[in-house]
Amino acid sequence: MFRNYLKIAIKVLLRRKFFTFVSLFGIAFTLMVLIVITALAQHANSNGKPEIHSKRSLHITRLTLRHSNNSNEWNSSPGYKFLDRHIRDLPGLENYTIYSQFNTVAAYVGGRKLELSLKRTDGRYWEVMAFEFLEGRPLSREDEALGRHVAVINEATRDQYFNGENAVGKTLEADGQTFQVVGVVKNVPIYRMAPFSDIWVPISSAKSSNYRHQLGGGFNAILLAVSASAFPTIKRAFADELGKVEFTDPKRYDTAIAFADTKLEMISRSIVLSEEEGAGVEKFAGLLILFMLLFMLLPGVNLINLNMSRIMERYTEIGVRKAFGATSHGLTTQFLLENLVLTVLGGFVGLVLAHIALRITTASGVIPYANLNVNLSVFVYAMILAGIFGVLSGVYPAWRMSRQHPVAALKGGSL
Amino acid sequence: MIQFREVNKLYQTAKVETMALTNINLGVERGEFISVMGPSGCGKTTMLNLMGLLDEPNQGEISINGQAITSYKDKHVARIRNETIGFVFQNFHLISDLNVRDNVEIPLLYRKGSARERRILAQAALERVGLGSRLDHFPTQLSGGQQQRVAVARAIVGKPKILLADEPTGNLDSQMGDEIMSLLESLNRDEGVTIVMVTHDQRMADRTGRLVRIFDGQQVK
Amino acid sequence: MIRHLIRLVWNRKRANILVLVEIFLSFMVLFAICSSGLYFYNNYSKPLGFSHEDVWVLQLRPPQNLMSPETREEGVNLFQQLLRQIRANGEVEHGAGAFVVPYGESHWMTSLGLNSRKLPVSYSPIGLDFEKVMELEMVEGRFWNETDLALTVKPLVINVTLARELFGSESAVGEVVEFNDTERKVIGVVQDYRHQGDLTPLKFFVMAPHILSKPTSYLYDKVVMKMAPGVSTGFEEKLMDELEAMAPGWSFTVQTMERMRNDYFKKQLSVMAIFGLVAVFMLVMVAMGLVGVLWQNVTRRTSELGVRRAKGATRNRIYFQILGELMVITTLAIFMGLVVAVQLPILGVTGSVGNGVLASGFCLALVLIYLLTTVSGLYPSWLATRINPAEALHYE
Repeated sequence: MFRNYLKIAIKVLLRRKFFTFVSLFGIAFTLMVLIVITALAQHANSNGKPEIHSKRSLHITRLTLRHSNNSNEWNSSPGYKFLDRHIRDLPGLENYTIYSQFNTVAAYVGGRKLELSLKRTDGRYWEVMAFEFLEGRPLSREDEALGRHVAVINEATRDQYFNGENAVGKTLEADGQTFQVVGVVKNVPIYRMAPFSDIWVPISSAKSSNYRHQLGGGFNAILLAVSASAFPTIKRAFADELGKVEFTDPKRYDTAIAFADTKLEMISRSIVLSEEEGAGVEKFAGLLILFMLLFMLLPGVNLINLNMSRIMERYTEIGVRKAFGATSHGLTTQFLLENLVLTVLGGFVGLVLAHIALRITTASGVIPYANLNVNLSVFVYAMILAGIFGVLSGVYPAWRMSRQHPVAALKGGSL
Repeated sequence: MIQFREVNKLYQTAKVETMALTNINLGVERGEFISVMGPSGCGKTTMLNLMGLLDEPNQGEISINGQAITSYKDKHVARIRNETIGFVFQNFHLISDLNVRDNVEIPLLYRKGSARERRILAQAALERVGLGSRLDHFPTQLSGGQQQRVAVARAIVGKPKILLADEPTGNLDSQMGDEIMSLLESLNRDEGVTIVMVTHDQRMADRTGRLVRIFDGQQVK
Repeated sequence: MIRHLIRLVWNRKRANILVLVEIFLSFMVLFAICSSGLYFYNNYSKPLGFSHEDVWVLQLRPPQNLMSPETREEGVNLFQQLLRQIRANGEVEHGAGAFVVPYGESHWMTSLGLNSRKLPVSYSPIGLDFEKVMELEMVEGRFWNETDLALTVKPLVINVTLARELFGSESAVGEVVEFNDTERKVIGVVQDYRHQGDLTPLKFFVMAPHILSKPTSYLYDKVVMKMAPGVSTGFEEKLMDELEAMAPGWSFTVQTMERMRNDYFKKQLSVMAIFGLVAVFMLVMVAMGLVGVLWQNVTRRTSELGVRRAKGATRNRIYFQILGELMVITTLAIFMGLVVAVQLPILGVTGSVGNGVLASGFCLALVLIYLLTTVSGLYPSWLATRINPAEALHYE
């Protein structure tokens, strides 16, 4: 049955090549844009190195301080003191790490100025995440405890600073400090925000130790749970901890708001600006779906128009099929399937185009150290999108076509 | 086999109402081969469409194979259209995108059966009409007479009890017309298919068992 | 003829509705692009109000918050020393402390009051000589100097748009306004200073002197410097070394404003380019779709067109009929677009895009949508004229 439908679907597509081309152009292009967006999201969110434990990880990246009686508000990243004090006793943790946000620092070498990203991390950072080392070793808990001036650099920094020669043991000057290189890792793309940097040094090597006393400013934490099922317990315990925060100036701020979120919750929270426990993920997903549907609207209407104008050609066929026992339901299925063939075909073309676009983006260096392509998950999402698009743009024409009165259809159709 | 009782059919456009058929009472027995004649626009095609359950009467009752038709919705009549009735059109109405075999298989798509069974039945039907060797050809590659024979094969592939033919020889020259007529006669004689044929051609009508005349939507003697 | 066309379109409304929706959506897309384009171009063509050539921005990161009284005074003194050191270099023509700089990502707002009126204004607390670094143009009055800062009513400089808004054509110099809940005296009116960049509009801007001696004031996090032309990276390294030697616990980074400007443009333009490209593709898709639909439309109406030709319609008339029907639908779509467009400012979704820009955008989009539908209709119309009446009538 379906093979016959498939056969006639292909025949119909080949009969009017211009229509097929126009339809494919619109479908492929629309799906290409949606696939590129999906691919970017997928790469940023995926479980790849060095974030191999991301399914068990919760992130703390924002701290809001408020006062219960007035409109004072301070909103930024948490400080070392806040994280250090309120994380260590949380239940259900296998490990945790505190690290600074990256800053752009200057390194002068051979008369050139290099702008590099610098992150300060503890030793646990390298246990929680699995970087790929080309040389040497990661920073250790001992480095942090002793405040050693050592650094791990990425491949790009090794190329720029040391001309690509082995870097371990050599000295590096950045941000007005001197470090000894102990390890070199593979580049990490910027969309992996937790591990991204060019240079990593111990927190305690900072120029001043005042960060220890700061409630707010400049640091993030990752909580590595024993398993994802421990998340609710951890989140609740962390919420309790917020009540124990000691404020330096209680007249200014007396309430602390922070969350331990999965990556998805983090993104959702920042876009939807939610302060609920669920991070407004449903709202975020809803917005995303709405956006995708809106984007598919114009191409969808275009495809509907093209399909409707094709009905005219097929009136006699519809009349004949009905005369020989086809039900409206059967015809609807047939025409819907034909449209799906078209959109899935368009999906394939769109995938190819998206892959090319992603490779061009990677090569252009516009997103530092990106490595974007179309992988299996993206392929699956693309096919789902093509299917949704096919159904949305096919249902109405299929329904209209199948509703034809057999006598009228045989005569050449009604309007 | 086919029974019309007080059947009336009205065509209504935005401004004009036309009585296409008025008070038709007609019975067709099993195994009969009858022809329907009348001037253009008299309603004979309308009557055939009603017999084929392609249209719905405004008044009156139609019975097919002893069963009165109570609902003309697609899903209720589709089964009968598929299993009991076969239609042959004046303009052949073959689907030019499909080859001969696929065209003939169309009625079989709407009933249960494997692809292999369909192929066998289609082959048999085409052989019955003398085109067993043309399975992979396309309608545009065939002559008018051959196309109509394919249409007949399509109409009989499901072994319907009733065959309705709307001016089957209208677009053919006299020789091809005769061939089609002979084919229909043999189907009626050898397989007992009940046939109702609308025609303009008195010679063709003379070869059938009974003649029904329609004039201005009414049956006349 | 037009009435005949309208009747044709109306009679076939069922079939035409979907085409109408498609053209309407395309028109809205065009409207959005044209309005955005004009908005940005409009902003870009206005003068910046400052010079970005040979300006360096130094970011300072002291190690402590400097809010506790003990460490604060030390920090402030160190800052003054650093500033003096910077100015001492021959390569630096002027240097000033600042928080908000052009092409930076900060944007600060507060309210300014006159009598009972309160206006939201962008503002920037700055140190002495800021206006010399940025080469700001005065329209009236002047910037402050050391002596002004000792007065009880502190001075303030406002931009020309704010001055016109508050004082009309009268002089603003000498007027007293309420700023950040204190009284301030306007001593100068500066040309519109568009610190958020070439593509962003600016309404009201206020520059206020930042008083470091107040115990609750934050320390500057930036120093802007006007460099003598032709200064090299070598000097940058030397300056960094000097500063780091003086303040070993502090972090310094320096960037040229040219570089910040380039980054700004890269960011803005790449976003605009992507949206623009996507929209162009969509419209091409729509044009091709319309060609297809019209083509089908024409072939379906062969007999009608044949009859018209047999009844004396010339080829040109047929052309105009087919195109004409399309124009009627397009005009309808534009009306729908107008209804929606008029709602936008009322709903407040247009933000800082002025009604003038929206109106121009609408008109431009109108021209473009007619162009798009006309081009799409050309081939099918031409096809319609090729129909031979005799053949057409035989077709049935």
